[in-house]
Amino acid sequence: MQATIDDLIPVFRDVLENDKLVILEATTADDIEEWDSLNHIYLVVAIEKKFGVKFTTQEIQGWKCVGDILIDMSKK
Amino acid sequence: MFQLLYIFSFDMSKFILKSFYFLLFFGVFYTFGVFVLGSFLPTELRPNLKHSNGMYGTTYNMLRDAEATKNVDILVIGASDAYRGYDPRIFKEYGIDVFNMGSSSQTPKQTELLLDKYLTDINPKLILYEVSPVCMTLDGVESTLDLMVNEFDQKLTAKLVFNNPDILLFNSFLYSVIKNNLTPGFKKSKVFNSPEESYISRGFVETKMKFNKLMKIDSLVWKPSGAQLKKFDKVLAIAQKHGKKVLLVNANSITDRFFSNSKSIDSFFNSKTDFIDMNANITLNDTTDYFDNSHLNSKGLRSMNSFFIPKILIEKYKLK
Amino acid sequence: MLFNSIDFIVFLAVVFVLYWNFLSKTKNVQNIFLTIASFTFYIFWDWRFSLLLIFSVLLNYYGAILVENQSSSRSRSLFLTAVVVLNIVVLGFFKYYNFFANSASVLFSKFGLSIDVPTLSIILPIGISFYTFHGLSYIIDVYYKRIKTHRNLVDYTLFVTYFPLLVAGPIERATHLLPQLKVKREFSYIQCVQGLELILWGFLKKLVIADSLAPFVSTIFDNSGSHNSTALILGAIAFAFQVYGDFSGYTDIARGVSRLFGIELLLNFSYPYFSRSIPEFWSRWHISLSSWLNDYVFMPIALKYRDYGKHGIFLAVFSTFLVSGIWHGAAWHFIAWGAFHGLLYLPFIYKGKGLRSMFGKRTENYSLRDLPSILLTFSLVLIGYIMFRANSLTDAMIYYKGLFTGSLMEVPNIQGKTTLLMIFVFILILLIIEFKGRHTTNPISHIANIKSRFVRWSLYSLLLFVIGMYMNNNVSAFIYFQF
Repeated sequence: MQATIDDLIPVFRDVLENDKLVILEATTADDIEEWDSLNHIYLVVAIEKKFGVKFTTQEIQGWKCVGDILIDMSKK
Repeated sequence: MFQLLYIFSFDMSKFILKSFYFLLFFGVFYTFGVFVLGSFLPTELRPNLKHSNGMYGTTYNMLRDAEATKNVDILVIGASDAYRGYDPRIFKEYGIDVFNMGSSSQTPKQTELLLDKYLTDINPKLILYEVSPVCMTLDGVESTLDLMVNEFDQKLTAKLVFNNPDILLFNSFLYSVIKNNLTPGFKKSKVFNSPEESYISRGFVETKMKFNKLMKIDSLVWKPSGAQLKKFDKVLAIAQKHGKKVLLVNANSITDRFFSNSKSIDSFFNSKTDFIDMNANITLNDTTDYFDNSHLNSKGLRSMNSFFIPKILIEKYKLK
Repeated sequence: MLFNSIDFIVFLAVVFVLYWNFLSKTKNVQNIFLTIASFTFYIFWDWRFSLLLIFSVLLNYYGAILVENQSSSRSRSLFLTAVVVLNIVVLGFFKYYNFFANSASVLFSKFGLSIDVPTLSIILPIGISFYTFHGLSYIIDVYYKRIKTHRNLVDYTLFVTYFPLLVAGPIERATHLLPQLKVKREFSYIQCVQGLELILWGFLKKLVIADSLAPFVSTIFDNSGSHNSTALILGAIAFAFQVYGDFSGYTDIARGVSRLFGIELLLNFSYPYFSRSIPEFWSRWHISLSSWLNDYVFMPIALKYRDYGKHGIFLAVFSTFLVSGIWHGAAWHFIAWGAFHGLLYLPFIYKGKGLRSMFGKRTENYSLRDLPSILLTFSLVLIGYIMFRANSLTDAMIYYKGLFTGSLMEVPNIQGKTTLLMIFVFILILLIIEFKGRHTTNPISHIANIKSRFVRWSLYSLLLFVIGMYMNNNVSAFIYFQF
């Protein structure tokens, strides 16, 4: 499915509890303080729920930045 | 610094030099600290520094007598049985002059050094080595401390401490060296006084007469330390060098019966030289003849000495 | 060689001088030398198991290369599973065989069958829990493509067998330690001084606090039935500081020694008893193990069961703590301890938005209002410690019973109360020093900032003097060596 960064921004802001978050395709977990290991899982769950997709463990482990999520989403 | 720079880099030379200076500084600081702590803190608050009376305090008297004694018939060496087990007054009845050079928990490490110093002057005809199986399993720290606080000869004290690397002994020795040099004779004020025990003479200590409350004893396995075994042989070697015969004796003791490998204990001592196990020679009453599980009271002592002197010393060893 | 032995000090001095002055031409020379030194160190401990250590190193080194070279994800998973299982089987055999054999026998007898599964007299190879976890983290990181394999066997061997961390951690990661081994280390005077400071502080905690408490803890825990409740409380508190002094002391010495060679090791403790919650406690206690478990046990399980919401998180948390319990020892009371901590996470998981992180937030800003939560957290940790230290679950039950019956006004019935009081004064001083220095990893590191050399050297000398006057000689081994 086709998704853009604008679709993901509200999810990030909601899960990470920060309305001011700026998410770009190049953003990584290191750039955002709240984006730690467990929140990472909550993000995955929220994205899967909202867009009706399912990621494999391999795909999730391979994400280095937000852009990678969009790429995997477009494959579904 | 320049010599160091030939081998090491600049930073490393700086590091080594600074460390060396620091160690010097620390040495002075530590010495000063030991003196201050030892002089002002009560003994419970300084677990690694002990300088007052040793175990029971009689060692002071024994060492003073040892310094003055010459030419005896029998010298007894060893641990507590060696200063409680051979009554000079009973020996006198048989015309034998005995000196007890035992001290509390004495192990072969200390016996070797004491013999080294005193054997020539005391010059006995026979050495009675009172072997305490338990003491050969100890490291000897308590005994070293006991001797160290009561011995005036600093060379002997230094040797005793060197034989037993231990922080408590090191600190206590350091303190005694400082104190001795500042106030010589500070040890001279130690005189023994207790309601339970009396120092008689010739190293012998008598305990107030009482009976034994038989306490439960767990069975043990005898595991002597390698270092003590080596020193044990050294003691025998010293005696031999002076041409003195050694008789190994294990005085009566209830605790000894609880060694599960008592046979190997006996065969070990038998393999060294003549060995008498008094537990096998006479039977005494566990309650009325002992004042605790390891030591005879005056009643048991009289029975033991009265058997030992005529039947063993005189008859077997033709002492008189 | 125990860290607190003359042998080790001589070994360290020799290795230090040789390393920086003659064997630092290139990073390869440095690493080869350190590896040889590390094996020498290990052989001193127990030469019999050096072959097992070599096996573990080779298994994970070549196993990771195998995994990396696979083209299909299926064969990657297959090889990973095979190597991981092999690691765990080896660890499991040495550590847990007797536990399973005994438990199986007990289970059989409950069903009326008297089958006695034979136990073997197996000796635990020293450091096996630690070096196995090192190897596992490497190969799993390679599998997840977090790192590429490092094709230098010497570097990798050193990574696993580096002597400061070989016997009791910290559990290092390829991402943290390997990069340091890939470059030549330069001698730094300041780093050496900081290393020595860490070593000094570590020895203080271990020799003065932990070792002095040890006899009291043994007496109380081995005879809990005959002690009154005040004594039992003191016993638990004493153990809390014994295990902290022992383990954090050991880690400080390990990290300090490593600094002498220009290598930084992971922080393992960060003032755990100042924690305001149990999750925060686990972000401050045995950090290298907690984060290992977080990355390789908790996260995979939480990810796998992410569709079960909070229940999935609880499953992940609880399983992780069970693993932690088992890692500490092959006995039910360790497992119970793990389960206890897992259950303590329940309010954090089910309240509000749920668990934010396995580790609570770690800030060094405290206010007086934090005091109740600090005390509550410490009490919960103490309750868990009783299970941890007791010799069995039954003994722990006896301890709890004694603790909760009886008055708190009684004087504790233990020998040597003056000595214990003195040690508690030391503990108080330790806590004050740590609190004042909480913004740094080593609370005495600010001594190096003092301008006057006389004052600096006097403070270092004072600390060494305290060790000389108050260290307890009679206890030697570190508690965590049995793991």
